[in-house]
Amino acid sequence: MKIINPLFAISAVILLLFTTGASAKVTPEEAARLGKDLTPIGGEKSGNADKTIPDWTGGLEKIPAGFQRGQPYIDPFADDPILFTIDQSNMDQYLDHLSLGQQALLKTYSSFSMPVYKSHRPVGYSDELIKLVNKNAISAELVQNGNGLKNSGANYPFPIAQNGLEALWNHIRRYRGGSLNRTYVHATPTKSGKFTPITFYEEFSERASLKDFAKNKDDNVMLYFKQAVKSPARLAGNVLLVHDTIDQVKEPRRAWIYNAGQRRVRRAPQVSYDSPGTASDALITADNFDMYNGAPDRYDWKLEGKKELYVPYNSYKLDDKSLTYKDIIKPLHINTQYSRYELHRVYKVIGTLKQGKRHIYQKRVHYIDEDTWAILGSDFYDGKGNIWRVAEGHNKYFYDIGTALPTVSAYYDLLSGRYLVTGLANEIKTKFDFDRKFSTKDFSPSALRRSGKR
Amino acid sequence: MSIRCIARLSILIFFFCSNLFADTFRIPASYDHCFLSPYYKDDSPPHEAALAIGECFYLAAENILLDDYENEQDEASPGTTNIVSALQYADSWFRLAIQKGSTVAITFLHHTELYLLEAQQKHPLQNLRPLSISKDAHATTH
Repeated sequence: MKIINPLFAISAVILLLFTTGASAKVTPEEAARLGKDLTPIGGEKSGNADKTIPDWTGGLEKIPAGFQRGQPYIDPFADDPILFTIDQSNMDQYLDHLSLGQQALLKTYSSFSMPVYKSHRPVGYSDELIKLVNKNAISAELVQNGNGLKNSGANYPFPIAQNGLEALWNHIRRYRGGSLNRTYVHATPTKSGKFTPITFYEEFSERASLKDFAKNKDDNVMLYFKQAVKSPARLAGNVLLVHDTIDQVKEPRRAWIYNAGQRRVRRAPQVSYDSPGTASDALITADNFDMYNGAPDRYDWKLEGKKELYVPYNSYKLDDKSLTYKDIIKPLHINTQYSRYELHRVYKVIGTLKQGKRHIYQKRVHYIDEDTWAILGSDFYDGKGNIWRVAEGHNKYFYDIGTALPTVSAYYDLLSGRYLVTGLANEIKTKFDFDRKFSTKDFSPSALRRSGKR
Repeated sequence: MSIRCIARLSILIFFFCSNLFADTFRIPASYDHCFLSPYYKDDSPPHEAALAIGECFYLAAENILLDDYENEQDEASPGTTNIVSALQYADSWFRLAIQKGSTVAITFLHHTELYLLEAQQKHPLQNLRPLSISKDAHATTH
Protein backbone atom coordinates (compact mmCIF):
# COMPACT_ATOMS: atom_id res chain seq x y z
CA MET A 1 0.00 0.00 0.00
CA LYS A 2 1.23 3.40 -0.91
CA ILE A 3 1.74 5.68 2.09
CA ILE A 4 0.82 9.32 1.60
CA ASN A 5 3.39 11.74 2.87
CA PRO A 6 1.71 13.60 5.79
CA LEU A 7 3.28 16.90 4.69
CA PHE A 8 1.79 16.42 1.25
CA ALA A 9 -1.61 15.62 2.74
CA ILE A 10 -1.57 18.76 4.95
CA SER A 11 -0.49 20.91 2.02
CA ALA A 12 -3.25 19.46 -0.12
CA VAL A 13 -5.87 20.22 2.50
CA ILE A 14 -4.58 23.78 2.92
CA LEU A 15 -4.51 24.24 -0.84
CA LEU A 16 -8.02 22.87 -1.15
CA LEU A 17 -9.27 25.26 1.51
CA PHE A 18 -7.78 28.23 -0.31
CA THR A 19 -8.71 27.21 -3.82
CA THR A 20 -12.33 26.52 -2.94
CA GLY A 21 -12.44 29.93 -1.34
CA ALA A 22 -13.87 28.37 1.80
CA SER A 23 -14.76 31.25 3.99
CA ALA A 24 -15.62 31.21 7.60
CA LYS A 25 -18.67 32.86 9.03
CA VAL A 26 -17.73 34.58 12.27
CA THR A 27 -18.23 33.03 15.68
CA PRO A 28 -21.25 34.06 17.78
CA GLU A 29 -18.82 35.88 20.11
CA GLU A 30 -17.43 37.95 17.26
CA ALA A 31 -20.92 38.55 15.87
CA ALA A 32 -21.95 39.86 19.30
CA ARG A 33 -19.79 42.92 18.61
CA LEU A 34 -22.42 44.10 16.13
CA GLY A 35 -24.40 46.85 17.79
CA LYS A 36 -21.82 47.11 20.61
CA ASP A 37 -18.42 48.43 19.51
CA LEU A 38 -19.43 47.91 15.88
CA THR A 39 -22.41 49.43 14.07
CA PRO A 40 -25.18 46.99 13.15
CA ILE A 41 -23.56 46.40 9.75
CA GLY A 42 -19.97 46.19 10.98
CA GLY A 43 -18.52 49.73 10.89
CA GLU A 44 -16.64 51.12 13.86
CA LYS A 45 -18.99 52.96 16.18
CA SER A 46 -16.25 55.19 17.51
CA GLY A 47 -14.99 58.05 15.47
CA ASN A 48 -11.29 58.63 14.99
CA ALA A 49 -8.99 59.96 17.70
CA ASP A 50 -9.33 63.63 16.84
CA LYS A 51 -13.05 63.23 16.09
CA THR A 52 -12.76 64.53 12.55
CA ILE A 53 -14.73 61.34 11.95
CA PRO A 54 -17.54 61.41 14.51
CA ASP A 55 -18.94 58.52 16.53
CA TRP A 56 -21.87 56.71 14.98
CA THR A 57 -24.81 57.38 17.26
CA GLY A 58 -27.67 55.71 15.42
CA GLY A 59 -27.78 57.83 12.30
CA LEU A 60 -29.64 61.03 11.48
CA GLU A 61 -31.61 62.06 14.55
CA LYS A 62 -34.45 63.81 12.79
CA ILE A 63 -35.73 63.99 9.22
CA PRO A 64 -35.47 67.65 8.12
CA ALA A 65 -38.59 69.68 8.84
CA GLY A 66 -40.80 70.12 5.80
CA PHE A 67 -39.69 66.96 4.04
CA GLN A 68 -42.49 64.98 2.43
CA ARG A 69 -42.00 61.51 1.04
CA GLY A 70 -41.81 61.64 -2.73
CA GLN A 71 -40.66 65.26 -2.73
CA PRO A 72 -37.05 66.39 -3.25
CA TYR A 73 -34.76 65.61 -0.34
CA ILE A 74 -33.91 68.49 1.96
CA ASP A 75 -30.19 68.73 2.71
CA PRO A 76 -29.86 68.19 6.47
CA PHE A 77 -26.38 69.67 6.39
CA ALA A 78 -27.00 72.65 4.12
CA ASP A 79 -25.65 75.13 6.68
CA ASP A 80 -22.25 73.48 7.00
CA PRO A 81 -19.46 75.75 5.78
CA ILE A 82 -16.62 74.46 3.60
CA LEU A 83 -13.72 73.66 5.96
CA PHE A 84 -11.09 73.82 3.22
CA THR A 85 -10.68 73.01 -0.46
CA ILE A 86 -8.10 70.61 -1.84
CA ASP A 87 -6.72 71.40 -5.27
CA GLN A 88 -3.56 70.98 -7.29
CA SER A 89 -1.78 73.71 -5.35
CA ASN A 90 -2.20 72.25 -1.86
CA MET A 91 -2.84 68.55 -2.45
CA ASP A 92 0.56 67.59 -0.99
CA GLN A 93 -0.69 68.51 2.48
CA TYR A 94 -3.48 65.95 2.25
CA LEU A 95 -1.90 63.00 0.46
CA ASP A 96 -2.52 60.64 3.40
CA HIS A 97 -6.26 61.13 3.00
CA LEU A 98 -6.45 61.00 -0.78
CA SER A 99 -6.73 57.87 -2.90
CA LEU A 100 -4.23 57.48 -5.74
CA GLY A 101 -7.11 58.04 -8.15
CA GLN A 102 -8.01 61.35 -6.51
CA GLN A 103 -4.35 62.37 -6.61
CA ALA A 104 -4.27 61.55 -10.32
CA LEU A 105 -7.41 63.63 -10.92
CA LEU A 106 -5.94 66.60 -9.06
CA LYS A 107 -2.61 66.30 -10.88
CA THR A 108 -4.24 65.91 -14.30
CA TYR A 109 -6.87 68.65 -14.07
CA SER A 110 -5.85 71.97 -12.58
CA SER A 111 -9.54 72.90 -12.39
CA PHE A 112 -10.46 69.87 -10.27
CA SER A 113 -10.98 70.59 -6.59
CA MET A 114 -12.45 68.91 -3.54
CA PRO A 115 -14.43 71.06 -1.11
CA VAL A 116 -14.20 69.37 2.29
CA TYR A 117 -16.98 69.66 4.85
CA LYS A 118 -17.56 68.44 8.40
CA SER A 119 -18.15 64.67 8.48
CA HIS A 120 -21.56 63.28 9.38
CA ARG A 121 -22.65 59.67 9.75
CA PRO A 122 -26.40 59.89 9.06
CA VAL A 123 -27.09 56.30 8.00
CA GLY A 124 -29.46 54.33 10.22
CA TYR A 125 -30.72 50.76 9.99
CA SER A 126 -34.18 49.28 10.50
CA ASP A 127 -34.79 46.60 13.13
CA GLU A 128 -35.63 44.17 10.36
CA LEU A 129 -32.30 44.80 8.64
CA ILE A 130 -30.37 44.52 11.91
CA LYS A 131 -31.98 41.15 12.58
CA LEU A 132 -31.12 39.94 9.10
CA VAL A 133 -27.48 41.07 9.35
CA ASN A 134 -27.05 39.45 12.78
CA LYS A 135 -28.21 36.19 11.29
CA ASN A 136 -25.97 36.57 8.24
CA ALA A 137 -22.93 37.17 10.42
CA ILE A 138 -23.02 33.64 11.82
CA SER A 139 -24.41 31.81 8.83
CA ALA A 140 -23.38 33.32 5.47
CA GLU A 141 -20.58 31.65 3.57
CA LEU A 142 -18.82 32.08 0.28
CA VAL A 143 -19.02 29.15 -2.09
CA GLN A 144 -17.67 28.31 -5.55
CA ASN A 145 -14.33 30.09 -5.04
CA GLY A 146 -16.14 33.14 -3.77
CA ASN A 147 -18.45 33.42 -6.76
CA GLY A 148 -21.53 32.54 -4.82
CA LEU A 149 -23.09 32.71 -1.38
CA LYS A 150 -25.01 30.33 0.78
CA ASN A 151 -27.04 30.74 3.95
CA SER A 152 -27.32 34.46 3.43
CA GLY A 153 -30.27 36.83 3.65
CA ALA A 154 -30.74 39.55 1.06
CA ASN A 155 -28.32 42.19 2.38
CA TYR A 156 -24.86 42.56 3.94
CA PRO A 157 -23.88 38.88 4.07
CA PHE A 158 -20.58 39.58 5.84
CA PRO A 159 -20.88 42.47 8.30
CA ILE A 160 -17.51 41.53 9.75
CA ALA A 161 -15.73 41.04 6.45
CA GLN A 162 -12.51 39.11 6.64
CA ASN A 163 -11.30 39.32 3.07
CA GLY A 164 -11.73 41.30 -0.12
CA LEU A 165 -14.35 39.02 -1.60
CA GLU A 166 -16.58 39.32 1.45
CA ALA A 167 -16.27 43.11 1.38
CA LEU A 168 -17.12 43.16 -2.33
CA TRP A 169 -20.17 40.97 -1.77
CA ASN A 170 -21.38 43.41 0.88
CA HIS A 171 -21.29 46.13 -1.78
CA ILE A 172 -23.07 43.94 -4.33
CA ARG A 173 -25.72 42.96 -1.81
CA ARG A 174 -26.06 46.23 0.07
CA TYR A 175 -29.45 47.51 1.05
CA ARG A 176 -30.98 49.69 -1.69
CA GLY A 177 -34.52 50.04 -0.43
CA GLY A 178 -35.67 46.62 -1.71
CA SER A 179 -37.17 47.97 -4.92
CA LEU A 180 -36.91 51.18 -6.85
CA ASN A 181 -37.96 52.90 -10.03
CA ARG A 182 -36.43 56.13 -11.17
CA THR A 183 -35.72 58.36 -14.13
CA TYR A 184 -32.33 59.95 -14.51
CA VAL A 185 -29.95 61.44 -17.00
CA HIS A 186 -26.51 60.36 -18.10
CA ALA A 187 -24.06 62.21 -20.31
CA THR A 188 -20.67 61.79 -21.93
CA PRO A 189 -19.47 65.37 -22.45
CA THR A 190 -16.79 66.19 -24.97
CA LYS A 191 -13.57 67.82 -23.78
CA SER A 192 -15.11 71.23 -24.25
CA GLY A 193 -18.14 70.21 -22.19
CA LYS A 194 -20.74 69.73 -24.95
CA PHE A 195 -23.20 66.96 -24.22
CA THR A 196 -26.52 65.38 -25.15
CA PRO A 197 -28.48 64.24 -22.08
CA ILE A 198 -29.57 60.62 -22.35
CA THR A 199 -32.62 59.86 -20.23
CA PHE A 200 -33.02 56.43 -18.66
CA TYR A 201 -35.94 54.91 -16.81
CA GLU A 202 -35.00 52.06 -14.48
CA GLU A 203 -36.85 49.48 -12.44
CA PHE A 204 -35.02 47.42 -9.86
CA SER A 205 -36.09 44.83 -7.33
CA GLU A 206 -34.31 42.46 -5.05
CA ARG A 207 -35.81 38.99 -5.36
CA ALA A 208 -36.96 39.02 -1.75
CA SER A 209 -38.89 42.25 -2.39
CA LEU A 210 -41.02 40.89 -5.22
CA LYS A 211 -44.78 40.79 -4.66
CA ASP A 212 -44.81 37.15 -5.73
CA PHE A 213 -41.60 36.17 -3.96
CA ALA A 214 -41.33 32.43 -3.45
CA LYS A 215 -38.41 31.17 -1.42
CA ASN A 216 -37.44 28.28 -3.64
CA LYS A 217 -38.28 29.80 -7.01
CA ASP A 218 -35.39 31.23 -9.03
CA ASP A 219 -33.26 31.10 -5.90
CA ASN A 220 -29.97 31.80 -7.69
CA VAL A 221 -31.30 35.24 -8.69
CA MET A 222 -30.48 38.11 -6.37
CA LEU A 223 -31.97 41.05 -8.27
CA TYR A 224 -33.99 42.04 -11.30
CA PHE A 225 -33.18 45.15 -13.29
CA LYS A 226 -34.75 46.82 -16.30
CA GLN A 227 -33.38 49.92 -17.99
CA ALA A 228 -35.13 51.75 -20.84
CA VAL A 229 -33.67 54.62 -22.84
CA LYS A 230 -36.29 57.40 -23.07
CA SER A 231 -34.41 60.06 -24.99
CA PRO A 232 -32.89 61.24 -27.30
CA ALA A 233 -35.17 59.91 -30.03
CA ARG A 234 -32.35 58.15 -31.84
CA LEU A 235 -31.76 55.88 -28.83
CA ALA A 236 -35.23 55.80 -27.28
CA GLY A 237 -37.06 52.53 -27.03
CA ASN A 238 -34.07 50.27 -26.46
CA VAL A 239 -34.49 48.32 -23.23
CA LEU A 240 -32.12 46.13 -21.24
CA LEU A 241 -33.35 43.45 -18.86
CA VAL A 242 -31.05 41.70 -16.40
CA HIS A 243 -31.63 38.89 -13.94
CA ASP A 244 -28.51 39.05 -11.83
CA THR A 245 -27.57 35.67 -10.47
CA ILE A 246 -25.80 35.05 -7.19
CA ASP A 247 -23.38 32.50 -8.61
CA GLN A 248 -22.63 33.85 -12.08
CA VAL A 249 -20.13 31.17 -12.86
CA LYS A 250 -22.63 28.40 -12.20
CA GLU A 251 -25.36 30.31 -14.01
CA PRO A 252 -24.27 33.41 -15.92
CA ARG A 253 -26.24 36.62 -15.56
CA ARG A 254 -29.34 36.47 -17.74
CA ALA A 255 -29.69 39.50 -19.97
CA TRP A 256 -31.95 40.49 -22.83
CA ILE A 257 -32.17 43.55 -25.03
CA TYR A 258 -35.24 44.89 -26.75
CA ASN A 259 -34.09 46.57 -29.90
CA ALA A 260 -36.52 49.32 -30.87
CA GLY A 261 -35.22 49.43 -34.44
CA GLN A 262 -35.82 45.74 -35.04
CA ARG A 263 -38.73 45.43 -32.58
CA ARG A 264 -37.22 42.22 -31.31
CA VAL A 265 -36.12 40.82 -27.98
CA ARG A 266 -32.71 39.17 -28.05
CA ARG A 267 -30.48 37.51 -25.46
CA ALA A 268 -27.54 39.77 -24.57
CA PRO A 269 -24.77 37.62 -23.14
CA GLN A 270 -22.26 40.43 -23.59
CA VAL A 271 -23.66 42.57 -20.75
CA SER A 272 -20.94 41.65 -18.29
CA TYR A 273 -17.29 42.10 -17.35
CA ASP A 274 -15.51 44.58 -19.66
CA SER A 275 -18.07 44.92 -22.45
CA PRO A 276 -18.84 48.61 -23.01
CA GLY A 277 -21.62 50.06 -20.86
CA THR A 278 -24.92 51.18 -22.44
CA ALA A 279 -24.61 54.45 -24.37
CA SER A 280 -21.30 55.05 -22.63
CA ASP A 281 -19.19 56.19 -25.58
CA ALA A 282 -16.61 53.59 -24.53
CA LEU A 283 -16.02 55.36 -21.20
CA ILE A 284 -17.16 52.61 -18.85
CA THR A 285 -17.44 48.84 -18.83
CA ALA A 286 -20.58 46.83 -18.06
CA ASP A 287 -19.19 45.95 -14.62
CA ASN A 288 -18.53 49.64 -13.83
CA PHE A 289 -22.25 50.27 -13.45
CA ASP A 290 -23.12 50.93 -9.78
CA MET A 291 -19.33 51.21 -9.28
CA TYR A 292 -19.04 47.41 -9.38
CA ASN A 293 -21.48 44.71 -10.36
CA GLY A 294 -21.35 41.14 -11.58
CA ALA A 295 -19.24 38.08 -11.03
CA PRO A 296 -16.01 38.57 -9.09
CA ASP A 297 -14.30 35.54 -10.62
CA ARG A 298 -11.70 37.23 -12.84
CA TYR A 299 -9.84 38.91 -9.98
CA ASP A 300 -8.01 37.97 -6.81
CA TRP A 301 -9.52 40.26 -4.19
CA LYS A 302 -7.52 41.49 -1.25
CA LEU A 303 -8.82 43.48 1.71
CA GLU A 304 -6.06 45.91 2.57
CA GLY A 305 -7.66 47.19 5.74
CA LYS A 306 -9.27 50.54 6.38
CA LYS A 307 -8.18 54.04 5.48
CA GLU A 308 -9.42 57.49 6.39
CA LEU A 309 -10.10 59.24 3.09
CA TYR A 310 -11.87 62.32 1.84
CA VAL A 311 -14.73 60.75 -0.07
CA PRO A 312 -17.89 62.10 -1.73
CA TYR A 313 -20.59 62.02 0.97
CA ASN A 314 -23.98 63.56 1.75
CA SER A 315 -24.10 64.88 -1.80
CA TYR A 316 -27.47 66.62 -1.61
CA LYS A 317 -26.29 69.73 -3.46
CA LEU A 318 -25.68 67.77 -6.65
CA ASP A 319 -29.37 66.83 -6.60
CA ASP A 320 -30.61 70.40 -6.11
CA LYS A 321 -33.64 70.95 -8.32
CA SER A 322 -32.69 74.58 -8.89
CA LEU A 323 -29.61 73.45 -10.83
CA THR A 324 -29.59 72.49 -14.48
CA TYR A 325 -27.45 69.81 -16.08
CA LYS A 326 -25.38 72.57 -17.64
CA ASP A 327 -24.58 73.84 -14.15
CA ILE A 328 -23.12 70.47 -13.23
CA ILE A 329 -21.61 69.11 -16.43
CA LYS A 330 -18.46 71.02 -17.23
CA PRO A 331 -15.41 70.30 -19.40
CA LEU A 332 -13.15 67.51 -18.07
CA HIS A 333 -15.10 66.91 -14.83
CA ILE A 334 -18.30 67.74 -12.98
CA ASN A 335 -18.60 71.17 -11.41
CA THR A 336 -16.86 70.53 -8.12
CA GLN A 337 -18.52 73.60 -6.61
CA TYR A 338 -21.51 71.32 -5.93
CA SER A 339 -19.52 68.33 -4.69
CA ARG A 340 -19.15 67.58 -1.01
CA TYR A 341 -16.28 65.58 0.45
CA GLU A 342 -16.05 64.36 4.03
CA LEU A 343 -13.44 62.37 5.93
CA HIS A 344 -14.70 58.81 6.38
CA ARG A 345 -13.29 55.38 7.02
CA VAL A 346 -13.32 53.17 3.97
CA TYR A 347 -12.29 49.58 3.34
CA LYS A 348 -9.64 49.40 0.66
CA VAL A 349 -10.23 46.39 -1.58
CA ILE A 350 -7.81 45.56 -4.37
CA GLY A 351 -8.72 43.32 -7.28
CA THR A 352 -5.80 41.93 -9.31
CA LEU A 353 -6.51 40.12 -12.55
CA LYS A 354 -5.96 36.38 -12.17
CA GLN A 355 -3.39 34.57 -14.25
CA GLY A 356 -5.09 33.28 -17.40
CA LYS A 357 -8.02 35.70 -17.11
CA ARG A 358 -8.59 38.82 -19.16
CA HIS A 359 -10.09 42.25 -18.52
CA ILE A 360 -9.14 45.73 -19.69
CA TYR A 361 -8.55 46.64 -16.04
CA GLN A 362 -5.47 44.78 -14.88
CA LYS A 363 -6.11 46.02 -11.37
CA ARG A 364 -8.98 47.82 -9.69
CA VAL A 365 -9.03 49.40 -6.27
CA HIS A 366 -12.33 50.06 -4.54
CA TYR A 367 -12.93 52.25 -1.50
CA ILE A 368 -15.97 50.99 0.39
CA ASP A 369 -17.82 53.08 2.96
CA GLU A 370 -17.94 51.48 6.43
CA ASP A 371 -21.50 52.74 7.08
CA THR A 372 -23.15 51.57 3.85
CA TRP A 373 -20.76 49.13 2.17
CA ALA A 374 -21.21 51.26 -0.95
CA ILE A 375 -18.17 51.81 -3.15
CA LEU A 376 -17.51 55.55 -3.07
CA GLY A 377 -14.37 55.62 -5.18
CA SER A 378 -12.48 53.35 -7.55
CA ASP A 379 -9.15 53.45 -9.35
CA PHE A 380 -8.75 51.41 -12.52
CA TYR A 381 -5.33 50.38 -13.84
CA ASP A 382 -4.48 49.36 -17.39
CA GLY A 383 -2.28 46.45 -18.49
CA LYS A 384 0.90 48.47 -17.89
CA GLY A 385 -0.12 49.25 -14.33
CA ASN A 386 -0.98 52.92 -14.91
CA ILE A 387 -4.08 54.55 -13.51
CA TRP A 388 -6.37 54.88 -16.50
CA ARG A 389 -9.79 55.64 -15.07
CA VAL A 390 -11.08 56.97 -11.78
CA ALA A 391 -14.66 56.75 -10.54
CA GLU A 392 -16.46 58.60 -7.77
CA GLY A 393 -19.89 57.78 -6.35
CA HIS A 394 -21.51 60.88 -4.87
CA ASN A 395 -24.03 59.31 -2.53
CA LYS A 396 -26.80 60.82 -0.50
CA TYR A 397 -28.79 59.28 2.30
CA PHE A 398 -32.47 58.68 1.58
CA TYR A 399 -33.49 59.20 5.19
CA ASP A 400 -37.10 58.07 4.80
CA ILE A 401 -35.98 54.76 3.28
CA GLY A 402 -32.76 54.09 5.16
CA THR A 403 -30.51 53.67 2.17
CA ALA A 404 -27.69 55.65 0.60
CA LEU A 405 -27.56 55.68 -3.19
CA PRO A 406 -25.57 57.67 -5.73
CA THR A 407 -26.97 61.06 -6.63
CA VAL A 408 -24.28 61.29 -9.25
CA SER A 409 -21.57 58.87 -10.33
CA ALA A 410 -18.69 60.16 -12.40
CA TYR A 411 -16.20 58.03 -14.33
CA TYR A 412 -13.11 59.88 -15.50
CA ASP A 413 -10.93 58.59 -18.33
CA LEU A 414 -7.57 60.22 -17.72
CA LEU A 415 -6.12 59.16 -21.07
CA SER A 416 -8.81 60.59 -23.32
CA GLY A 417 -9.65 63.54 -21.05
CA ARG A 418 -13.35 62.69 -21.12
CA TYR A 419 -15.81 61.44 -18.55
CA LEU A 420 -19.22 59.90 -18.09
CA VAL A 421 -21.62 61.27 -15.53
CA THR A 422 -24.76 59.41 -14.56
CA GLY A 423 -27.63 59.62 -12.08
CA LEU A 424 -28.51 63.28 -12.63
CA ALA A 425 -32.15 64.13 -11.91
CA ASN A 426 -32.09 67.91 -11.41
CA GLU A 427 -34.42 68.66 -14.32
CA ILE A 428 -36.67 65.65 -13.76
CA LYS A 429 -39.89 66.09 -11.83
CA THR A 430 -40.59 62.44 -11.17
CA LYS A 431 -39.35 61.06 -7.87
CA PHE A 432 -37.24 58.10 -6.89
CA ASP A 433 -40.08 55.71 -6.11
CA PHE A 434 -39.27 53.07 -3.51
CA ASP A 435 -42.93 52.26 -2.80
CA ARG A 436 -43.92 50.45 -5.98
CA LYS A 437 -43.46 46.72 -5.69
CA PHE A 438 -42.87 44.57 -8.73
CA SER A 439 -43.67 41.00 -9.67
CA THR A 440 -41.60 38.54 -11.70
CA LYS A 441 -43.90 39.31 -14.64
CA ASP A 442 -42.55 42.88 -14.74
CA PHE A 443 -39.11 41.45 -15.37
CA SER A 444 -39.98 38.83 -17.94
CA PRO A 445 -38.54 39.07 -21.48
CA SER A 446 -42.07 39.60 -22.80
CA ALA A 447 -42.38 42.70 -20.60
CA LEU A 448 -39.46 44.19 -22.50
CA ARG A 449 -41.45 44.91 -25.62
CA ARG A 450 -44.06 46.83 -23.60
CA SER A 451 -41.33 48.88 -21.91
CA GLY A 452 -39.78 49.72 -25.24
CA LYS A 453 -42.83 51.52 -26.60
CA ARG A 454 -41.99 55.14 -27.30
CA MET B 1 -47.91 76.69 -46.57
CA SER B 2 -49.46 74.34 -49.09
CA ILE B 3 -51.00 71.01 -48.15
CA ARG B 4 -48.27 69.33 -50.15
CA CYS B 5 -45.59 71.00 -48.00
CA ILE B 6 -47.34 69.99 -44.80
CA ALA B 7 -47.65 66.42 -46.06
CA ARG B 8 -43.93 66.31 -46.96
CA LEU B 9 -42.97 67.73 -43.58
CA SER B 10 -45.17 65.17 -41.77
CA ILE B 11 -43.56 62.33 -43.73
CA LEU B 12 -40.13 63.64 -42.79
CA ILE B 13 -41.05 63.92 -39.11
CA PHE B 14 -42.50 60.40 -39.18
CA PHE B 15 -39.38 59.14 -40.93
CA PHE B 16 -36.97 60.57 -38.40
CA CYS B 17 -39.02 59.55 -35.35
CA SER B 18 -39.74 56.04 -36.54
CA ASN B 19 -38.63 53.06 -34.48
CA LEU B 20 -37.61 51.52 -37.73
CA PHE B 21 -34.67 53.88 -37.98
CA ALA B 22 -33.68 54.02 -34.36
CA ASP B 23 -30.69 51.81 -34.87
CA THR B 24 -29.56 53.54 -38.01
CA PHE B 25 -29.07 56.61 -35.90
CA ARG B 26 -26.94 54.88 -33.32
CA ILE B 27 -23.28 55.44 -33.86
CA PRO B 28 -21.67 52.20 -32.76
CA ALA B 29 -18.06 52.23 -31.65
CA SER B 30 -15.89 51.24 -34.57
CA TYR B 31 -14.73 48.13 -32.75
CA ASP B 32 -18.16 46.73 -31.83
CA HIS B 33 -17.70 43.89 -34.29
CA CYS B 34 -14.73 42.61 -32.26
CA PHE B 35 -17.09 41.70 -29.41
CA LEU B 36 -18.97 39.38 -31.73
CA SER B 37 -16.17 36.82 -31.88
CA PRO B 38 -17.47 33.48 -30.60
CA TYR B 39 -14.41 33.38 -28.35
CA TYR B 40 -15.06 36.75 -26.72
CA LYS B 41 -16.99 35.18 -23.85
CA ASP B 42 -14.74 32.16 -23.67
CA ASP B 43 -12.96 32.03 -20.35
CA SER B 44 -9.97 30.26 -21.77
CA PRO B 45 -9.75 30.69 -25.54
CA PRO B 46 -6.83 29.24 -27.53
CA HIS B 47 -3.97 31.69 -28.09
CA GLU B 48 -4.78 32.01 -31.80
CA ALA B 49 -8.29 33.20 -30.94
CA ALA B 50 -7.00 35.62 -28.30
CA LEU B 51 -4.49 37.01 -30.79
CA ALA B 52 -7.15 37.37 -33.50
CA ILE B 53 -9.47 39.31 -31.19
CA GLY B 54 -6.57 41.50 -30.07
CA GLU B 55 -5.72 42.20 -33.70
CA CYS B 56 -9.33 43.07 -34.41
CA PHE B 57 -9.26 45.79 -31.74
CA TYR B 58 -5.83 46.91 -32.84
CA LEU B 59 -6.89 47.33 -36.47
CA ALA B 60 -10.03 49.12 -35.34
CA ALA B 61 -7.85 51.59 -33.42
CA GLU B 62 -5.82 52.17 -36.58
CA ASN B 63 -8.94 52.78 -38.62
CA ILE B 64 -10.42 55.22 -36.11
CA LEU B 65 -7.14 57.08 -36.02
CA LEU B 66 -7.01 57.32 -39.81
CA ASP B 67 -10.60 58.57 -39.88
CA ASP B 68 -9.81 61.14 -37.23
CA TYR B 69 -6.81 62.27 -39.19
CA GLU B 70 -8.98 62.89 -42.20
CA ASN B 71 -11.49 64.77 -40.06
CA GLU B 72 -8.68 66.72 -38.38
CA GLN B 73 -9.66 65.29 -35.01
CA ASP B 74 -12.99 66.99 -34.65
CA GLU B 75 -13.45 67.88 -30.98
CA ALA B 76 -16.91 66.34 -30.92
CA SER B 77 -15.66 63.07 -32.36
CA PRO B 78 -15.59 60.16 -29.94
CA GLY B 79 -12.44 59.05 -31.78
CA THR B 80 -9.88 59.68 -29.06
CA THR B 81 -11.80 57.76 -26.44
CA ASN B 82 -12.44 54.95 -28.87
CA ILE B 83 -8.78 54.73 -29.90
CA VAL B 84 -7.66 54.47 -26.29
CA SER B 85 -10.38 51.95 -25.45
CA ALA B 86 -9.70 49.86 -28.55
CA LEU B 87 -5.98 49.81 -27.73
CA GLN B 88 -6.71 48.82 -24.12
CA TYR B 89 -8.92 45.95 -25.31
CA ALA B 90 -6.19 44.92 -27.76
CA ASP B 91 -3.63 45.11 -24.94
CA SER B 92 -5.70 42.82 -22.71
CA TRP B 93 -6.14 40.21 -25.47
CA PHE B 94 -2.47 40.26 -26.47
CA ARG B 95 -1.49 39.74 -22.83
CA LEU B 96 -3.80 36.75 -22.63
CA ALA B 97 -2.46 35.36 -25.93
CA ILE B 98 1.11 35.67 -24.57
CA GLN B 99 0.17 33.85 -21.39
CA LYS B 100 -1.22 31.10 -23.58
CA GLY B 101 1.99 30.82 -25.58
CA SER B 102 1.64 33.16 -28.56
CA THR B 103 4.93 34.71 -29.59
CA VAL B 104 3.39 36.89 -32.30
CA ALA B 105 1.37 38.66 -29.64
CA ILE B 106 4.58 39.91 -27.98
CA THR B 107 5.31 42.28 -30.85
CA PHE B 108 1.72 43.42 -31.05
CA LEU B 109 1.66 44.08 -27.34
CA HIS B 110 4.89 46.05 -27.59
CA HIS B 111 3.46 48.31 -30.28
CA THR B 112 0.18 48.72 -28.43
CA GLU B 113 2.04 49.74 -25.30
CA LEU B 114 4.09 52.27 -27.22
CA TYR B 115 0.99 53.94 -28.57
CA LEU B 116 -0.73 53.93 -25.22
CA LEU B 117 2.38 55.48 -23.72
CA GLU B 118 2.36 58.10 -26.43
CA ALA B 119 -1.28 58.74 -25.70
CA GLN B 120 -0.45 59.23 -22.06
CA GLN B 121 2.45 61.57 -22.69
CA LYS B 122 0.50 63.66 -25.15
CA HIS B 123 -2.40 64.10 -22.79
CA PRO B 124 -4.88 65.28 -23.76
CA LEU B 125 -4.46 62.99 -26.74
CA GLN B 126 -3.70 65.19 -29.68
CA ASN B 127 -2.00 64.76 -33.01
CA LEU B 128 -1.26 61.14 -32.42
CA ARG B 129 0.12 59.92 -35.72
CA PRO B 130 -1.65 57.02 -37.44
CA LEU B 131 -0.44 53.68 -36.17
CA SER B 132 -0.04 51.63 -39.36
CA ILE B 133 2.00 49.11 -37.44
CA SER B 134 0.03 45.94 -37.83
CA LYS B 135 1.99 45.05 -40.96
CA ASP B 136 5.27 45.81 -39.17
CA ALA B 137 4.27 43.49 -36.36
CA HIS B 138 3.65 40.64 -38.75
CA ALA B 139 6.83 41.41 -40.63
CA THR B 140 8.91 41.25 -37.45
CA THR B 141 7.40 38.07 -36.23
CA HIS B 142 7.11 35.97 -39.35
